[in-house]
Amino acid sequence: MILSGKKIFFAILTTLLIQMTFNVKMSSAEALSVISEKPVMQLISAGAGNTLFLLINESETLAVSGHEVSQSVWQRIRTIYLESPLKVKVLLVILVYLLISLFVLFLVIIINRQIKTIRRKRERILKQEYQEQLADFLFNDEVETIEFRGINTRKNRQIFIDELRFLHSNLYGETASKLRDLYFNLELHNDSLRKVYHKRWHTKSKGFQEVAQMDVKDANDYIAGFANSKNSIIRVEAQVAMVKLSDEEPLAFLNELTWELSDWEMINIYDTLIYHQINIDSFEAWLDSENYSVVVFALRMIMLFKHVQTIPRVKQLLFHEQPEIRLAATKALKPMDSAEYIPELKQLYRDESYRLQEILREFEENEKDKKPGLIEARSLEDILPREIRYEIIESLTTIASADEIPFMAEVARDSHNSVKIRMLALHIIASLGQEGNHKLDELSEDADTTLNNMIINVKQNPES
Amino acid sequence: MIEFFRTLQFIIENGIIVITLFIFGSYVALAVFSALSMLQYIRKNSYIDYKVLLSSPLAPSISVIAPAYNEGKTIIDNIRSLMSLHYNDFEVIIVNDGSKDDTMEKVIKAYDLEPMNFIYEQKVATEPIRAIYKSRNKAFKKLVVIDKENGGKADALNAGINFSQMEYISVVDVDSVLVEDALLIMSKPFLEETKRKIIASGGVIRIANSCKIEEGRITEVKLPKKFVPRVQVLEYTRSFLMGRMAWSKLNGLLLVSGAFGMFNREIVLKVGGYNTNLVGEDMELIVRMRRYMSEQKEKYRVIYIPDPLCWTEVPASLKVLGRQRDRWTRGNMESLFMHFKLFFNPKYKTLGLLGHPYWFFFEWFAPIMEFIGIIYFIIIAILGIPNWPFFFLLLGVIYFFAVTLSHWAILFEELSFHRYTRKREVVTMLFTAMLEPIFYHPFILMFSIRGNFKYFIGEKTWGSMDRVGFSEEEKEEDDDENNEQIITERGQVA
Repeated sequence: MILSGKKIFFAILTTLLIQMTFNVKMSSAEALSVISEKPVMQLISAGAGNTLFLLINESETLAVSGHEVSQSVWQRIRTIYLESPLKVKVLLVILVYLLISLFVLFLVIIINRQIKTIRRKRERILKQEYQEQLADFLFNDEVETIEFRGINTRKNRQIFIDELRFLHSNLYGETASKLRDLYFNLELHNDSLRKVYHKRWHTKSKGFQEVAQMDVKDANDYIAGFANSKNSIIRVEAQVAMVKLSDEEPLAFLNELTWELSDWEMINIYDTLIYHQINIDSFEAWLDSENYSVVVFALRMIMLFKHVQTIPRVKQLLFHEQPEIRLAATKALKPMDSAEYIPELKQLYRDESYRLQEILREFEENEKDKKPGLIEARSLEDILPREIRYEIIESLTTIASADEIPFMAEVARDSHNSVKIRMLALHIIASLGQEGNHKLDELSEDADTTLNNMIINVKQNPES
Repeated sequence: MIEFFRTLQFIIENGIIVITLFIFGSYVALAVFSALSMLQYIRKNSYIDYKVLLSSPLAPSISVIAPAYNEGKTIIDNIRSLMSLHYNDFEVIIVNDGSKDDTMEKVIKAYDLEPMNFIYEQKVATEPIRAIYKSRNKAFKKLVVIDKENGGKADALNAGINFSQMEYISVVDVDSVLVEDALLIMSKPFLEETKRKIIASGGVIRIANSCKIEEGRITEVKLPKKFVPRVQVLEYTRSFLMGRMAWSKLNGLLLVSGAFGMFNREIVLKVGGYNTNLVGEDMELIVRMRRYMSEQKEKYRVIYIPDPLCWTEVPASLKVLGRQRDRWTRGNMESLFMHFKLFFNPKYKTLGLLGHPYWFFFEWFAPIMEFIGIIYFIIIAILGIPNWPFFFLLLGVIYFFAVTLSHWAILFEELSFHRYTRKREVVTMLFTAMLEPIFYHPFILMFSIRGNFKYFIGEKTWGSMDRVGFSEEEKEEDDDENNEQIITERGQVA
């Protein structure tokens, strides 16, 4: 007879139930075996004088007095606990702890939910009220004085400040100034300054944001000290605040910066410069910084603000030892649209190609010595030279003349180059009129299949 | 014989206590790490204005890659949802993985697509590409549709990676719903780090069953009505808010969810893209990327974002859930055994000494041990020598620990993102946590054991023949389950 899985399962379950039922006294004995840490073979009987006798083994009998049996529940629990082996004690302690914490957690979650619901409702009402009052204050000429309900408490004042800041960030000119005046008249700047001097980093950062937005300059010296803080979150807020609040040298903190400037910091500083229309005459001074991230930042700003006057210095940086700086310098030249740096770019392309060859040669050598089990012998070192080479060709897109056709043909022909860069070179050739088209025909004569396909594609889609 | 079993019983019982306490300790440590990490994250990002990234020319470029297979019913809305993400420099690459329904026709018509003559490098080998489409309408200039022969999800993703020219790639399940700021929030960690390279970031996956979705956006969050998806809400909350957050802090994260993740494209290409021969390609990619970075002696991190950025539907029936979970088990095993070199290997630091062993013991071996424990108990029960009080005491401790852990997770959720706002929902969650160990966990254990069995007999239901679609078999189930959509995401449970 073949038994199904279900039948076996029920058979086992039934056996277990029978065991449990027929050994019900045995279970009690087992419980005592845990207490006594001795294997109980048999529960003999209830002896005279309320004493239970348990046969431990052939030669030993354990007596449990009836007095213990008739103890109160708590006393019995205590007795069981005290007489239990260590493992049971540990489990009992954990169980009690878990039961208590579960109960407490349950209550905390329910109470927290209740409090949160009430608080959120109150905040929502207050926010709406402040929004309406602020709108009245700004746009209703008939309103002269407004009493803002509840701003005597710190929490409500924070809600008010947040609403005011939100409105302020969306307004310009006189209306924004009116809001700023209100902020000072209500002495809310003291709240912001209290946050600035607070010892907690997240409160401090929020304070930096508030004083920067509302143009509170009382703490400039103090904030400046944090522009080089080891805490990156405070650092970026302090830098943004300094850009906004400094009257003379908004980027002076860059001179002292010992930390690497992250992309996030650069994005924030640039955004502040743009949003508040802060004009920086020249970024050239930072091109000599020992902090290479500052040089990269300066190059990016030169690119974005198109500081043509710095081209000679940027050209020098094309040959800097740091690849990140070479890349940033190449990108910085791109929007300048000037043919004067074409020779340098071509030279750099050749230098990077040489570096790339060296790296690839090293790859091949590593491949020979490759330890078994390693995923890849290839390092990440080839990424930047490849990227720089692509940026060079892209920079030449708008400024290349027919003189560059042989160079571009060389790039397109090189089968070690990526399809992306070869296609770009072919597109540049195609864009150079009759001479370019002639060169494409010439190239296709001795082209391999890949190059030929690329040429056909470029001819079909000259503008893509 | 009985004496032998008594000795064995003594050894096993004491062993079980030691292991139980060790597991408890690990979970408590992870929960503490998570809490600290979460607190720092919330404080740090509470006043961040992500809009600075929106207009910045310095923001990195991102390719959003979404593979699609037989998604004809929802593809138009799904693409619209992806196209309306808030980000400046991004493209949406939809990879039609040889759909047999009208997915392609619908997309061509709705977005006015025309085939383009593109030449690009096949850096990772894929099944043949039929055509690449772009829209004639400039409003959809960010959209690229790759139509290719069927090769499975990993193959479709590789096709998208080959085409992408952006700095970062974001991999998304096309039927997942992303919040509008998902790319802004996800890309920020890549920009902040200066000392270490961020190679990938993963986001928390939230459960969309019973939620109101309009035009590809979550408009109302609701706790699932059915028990199976509801209990998964708890599982995911525990796993994401209490597990991965801690692993991210320890830099030991081995998995970025396939439903939504962001990667450094160059590193993905360096390691050769997704492995198309596996069922757990998402985990294996992360392990391979981490291993590669360690071998290159490069400092790196895999980041985890706790914000609820991605919402997806989970299996609503045990049958479908079973398939998903045994696949996850096999995926785990593939990655762990394929990269067994990492196991307690000090050369790989956190990855070798902590990440890999933890996953090995807690994610793979723990269910096996649990299963062995049950078998052992049945044997001693049949022999009539079980220590019942000890058994019930241990069972009670384990049960209440599991419930307490879930309640902590609910508290985390309440104090952090607080997405289930109705009073009744939190009470329901608390009671669901009490039922989970009894009515849900045994099935999860069974599915895991089944996954192990399938792995060892070499079954690959995600294999070349069956890989006609990464969601086809589940989609068939969907019809049985009121169009319940299946996630291809992997959310390991802490």
